[in-house]
Amino acid sequence: MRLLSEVRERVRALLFRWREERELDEELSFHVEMATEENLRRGMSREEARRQALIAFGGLDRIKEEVRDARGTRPLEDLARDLRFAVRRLAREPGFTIPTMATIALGIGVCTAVFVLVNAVLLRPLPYPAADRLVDIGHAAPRAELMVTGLSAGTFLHYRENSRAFEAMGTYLEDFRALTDLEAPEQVRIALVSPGLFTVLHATPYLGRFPVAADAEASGRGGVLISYDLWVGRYGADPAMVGRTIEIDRRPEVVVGVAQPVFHFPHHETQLWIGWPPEKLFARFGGPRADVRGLFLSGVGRLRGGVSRAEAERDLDRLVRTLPDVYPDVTAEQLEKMGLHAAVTPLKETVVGNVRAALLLLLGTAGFLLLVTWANATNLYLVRAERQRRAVVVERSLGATSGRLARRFTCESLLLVAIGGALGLALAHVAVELRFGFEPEQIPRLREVTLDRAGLGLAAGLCLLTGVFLAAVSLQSALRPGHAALLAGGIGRMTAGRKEGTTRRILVVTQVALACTLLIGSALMARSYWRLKQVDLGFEPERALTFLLSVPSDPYSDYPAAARLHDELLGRLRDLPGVEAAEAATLSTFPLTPVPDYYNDRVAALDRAFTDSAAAPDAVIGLATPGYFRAMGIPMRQGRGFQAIDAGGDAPGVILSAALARSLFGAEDPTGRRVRLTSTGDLAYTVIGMVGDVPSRAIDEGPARAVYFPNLYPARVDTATSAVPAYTPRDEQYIVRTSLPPTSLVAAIRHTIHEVDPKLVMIRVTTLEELVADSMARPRLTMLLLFAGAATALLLGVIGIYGVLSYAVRRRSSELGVRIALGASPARMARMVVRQSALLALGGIAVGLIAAFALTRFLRALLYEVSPSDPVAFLAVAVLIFAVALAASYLPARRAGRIDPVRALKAE
Amino acid sequence: MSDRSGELLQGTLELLVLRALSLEPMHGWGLAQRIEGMSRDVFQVSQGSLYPALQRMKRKGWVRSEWRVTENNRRARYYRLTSAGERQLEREKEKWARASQAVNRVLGWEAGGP
Repeated sequence: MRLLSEVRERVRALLFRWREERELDEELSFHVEMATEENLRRGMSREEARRQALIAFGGLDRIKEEVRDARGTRPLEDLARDLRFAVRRLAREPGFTIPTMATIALGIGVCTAVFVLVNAVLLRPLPYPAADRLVDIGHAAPRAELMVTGLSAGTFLHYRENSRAFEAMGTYLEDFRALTDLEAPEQVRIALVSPGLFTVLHATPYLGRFPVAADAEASGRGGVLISYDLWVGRYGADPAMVGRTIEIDRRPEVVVGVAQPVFHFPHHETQLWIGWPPEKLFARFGGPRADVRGLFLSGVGRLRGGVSRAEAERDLDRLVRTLPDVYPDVTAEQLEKMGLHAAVTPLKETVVGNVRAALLLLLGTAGFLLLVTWANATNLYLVRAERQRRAVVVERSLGATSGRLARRFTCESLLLVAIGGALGLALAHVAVELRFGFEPEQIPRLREVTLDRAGLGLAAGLCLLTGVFLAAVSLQSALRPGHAALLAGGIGRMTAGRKEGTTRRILVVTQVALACTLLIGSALMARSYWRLKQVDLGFEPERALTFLLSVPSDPYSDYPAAARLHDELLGRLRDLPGVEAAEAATLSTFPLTPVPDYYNDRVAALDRAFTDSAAAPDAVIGLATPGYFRAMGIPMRQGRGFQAIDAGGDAPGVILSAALARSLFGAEDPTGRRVRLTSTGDLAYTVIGMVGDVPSRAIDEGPARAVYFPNLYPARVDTATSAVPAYTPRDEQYIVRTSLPPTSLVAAIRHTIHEVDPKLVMIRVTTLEELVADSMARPRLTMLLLFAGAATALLLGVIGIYGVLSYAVRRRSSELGVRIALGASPARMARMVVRQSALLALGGIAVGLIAAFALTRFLRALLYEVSPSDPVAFLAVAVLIFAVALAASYLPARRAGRIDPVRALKAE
Repeated sequence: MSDRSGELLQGTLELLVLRALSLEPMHGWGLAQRIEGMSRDVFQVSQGSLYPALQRMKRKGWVRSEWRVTENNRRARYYRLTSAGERQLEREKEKWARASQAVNRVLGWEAGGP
């Protein structure tokens, strides 16, 4: 109550100051008039009456002042006045104000934006209750060379049943499906989820409910949850969505619920969840099994309160050892040989994945840039303080107190920082809105990035810190004692002492050092990017269109049906005008595409011991049409391509990639050798050829180890051995080589496909060139962002060097004039300035190189075939900075050489 | 407030103002006269000192002000006690009574002591 009235009165006093003043005048004059009238009644003359009234009142102006003080708005009014003065003073010095403000805006803006990004992606907990207890459950098998080490149905069920460390446990498998209802078929990213998964996350549905185990028992199908985006975008926010039947790969499925708008699990593009009890896998394999070589499922668990990850791991390891007691397909020796043990990692790490290094790099860059901007602003402040020293001395001698000056400088700094900070926030806002140029698929959780309270808090904190720091700098340099002496001296000497000059030089050296470190970082990234571009792709990306054709199991239920479809499609596509070749390979073996992990298998040479892990490397298994390698431009290194005889017989023919052949047979010729796969047991395959390597998922992941099976349509498969049908061509990546601009063919191709089957979906239609570009998009963007930061730092550093030098020349103009008058050549004067610049630059470069040596090893994860201490990058940056520093000294040096000795001496 | 009356009187002035306003709402001039009358000119307070005191009391929420027309048909700012002001008056009265009692005791002891 009391506080309220206090606030109300003060606010009113501030807002309606003019009215308050008028009313005060009226009130007081009423008083004086009444007193005057009273005195008149007592018989005084009018003049005397008024005089006495004023005396009794006690000094009108003093009382007014006291009333104003009593309003309690005095400090605020003073502040407002100081701010007005500060605005005027700053407006008079645009040469100081604009660069300082811009510098502050840059530092705060960049830092805030990057922090917001890093906070949303790396730091902020996942958007589930008590998310710190959510973990990813998988395995590690250091001696088994498995590409994926998640869970299998057997291990999952065993752990869920018997673990003591977890409150709940769920599992999922990511996949793609086509929605074939409505007019436009659409490919969506889906997850097959164990019914308990949503319980683990403590998620709630937006509409309806989550799939439960009973859904699967009732219908044999899982029950479907769709994403909010899908509900709105595809189904028009249908209020009767729950219970509606949709069509997934031409099979009707019942929607049981709609997820919350923010629910994106496990991937930010997952659109659909299908309830899927993992026990279903047992039916396919004819009974429960541990399947420790097929750990393709992902596991999620919620730790019990107070249980650490290490404890959970120990608990699961105990269960790993009991696997042989429960399942017939695994022995203790096998586990020992694999080195299989449980791995429990924070779920966030799984979600965030490999962007961590790139984001931390960005954060580091932003931090460096902040330091650079601080150094720069300090430098600008010092220059200004020197310029203003005389004015300050005069003011002080006229009686301005230290407190008064302190308030003034504080006001100026706060104003500068407030405006700079606001500009910085605007900058951050734009950067966040543009998502830094990242595409949603490049960075997980990118949708969660907003300029939130944490970001605003950081910006405010940085502003405050900067403001206080700059105010301290200006105070320190303005209030130094000994000014009376300076006032007595000439202007020429009224300049920075040696100490201040040293401070500024140190600042410049720091700036150059920071810029040098950043530049070396970006030079390393640039080298790495260059290396990536130089990688021999192993195929020819020009003039080729590619797309994925996903063939649903209904009605193409078996190998012959799917194979006939592909055969017909490829035949029709080859007849299109402008098409030179149309071929297909399984998604898994196609370069630069995400590979579902379950395409992996282990390959062993028949003449080696199969149980030796090292002799049985992991490889991707896929099918390829006979013309595929020629159409892609993948060279045949050894042997021959596929022929009709390869699909069948005792030992069907396969083609190996060079990388796989190397790990199996070293430098020996692989053709004619025999290999076998883990999943097909004793069946042997004859190697008929070896093709060149292509990169697997991404260029920097290196060449794929691949086994190509022949895709000969129509199929000639020995159904008795059931060898090839394990790889029914469901997800075939088509390549159409053409003499025309590739994208001009898209409409004709789609038309052709829909003639055969109107419900088939062309997925991710793109050119091979684009596929290559996309694969390098993130390294490129990281490089560009880092380079932008480094270039800004360099620019500020150069401005710093220029500022110090030109100031030094101005300050020493009389000294230089005397020297010239005494016979020193102007060229020598200029050389002196250049030498100074060189010294500053060398100092900065030396410190920067040392810092870079210490720091660049953190870049290792981001560098492709470039050493973190790559001498080329280090040398190039050093030379660049040195050259730039010399260039920055050009103008001051010229000025030093042109000093007119007569004028310089006169000035003295 | 005149220098002579010292700081002691600030609280006293507020007490007097509260007391005067507890009778009826009045303007500054009326208050000055009323206080002079009540205290029989004991307190040498310049009349102007009333106004800073009133401003402070307004801030504390003890009094409210409004513009009204006097019986002589002039516009004047009238002050009136709020309920918080009434409570404050009670507190001040009590405090004052205790203080003066104490002072009286001290003086009595001094005068009639052994």
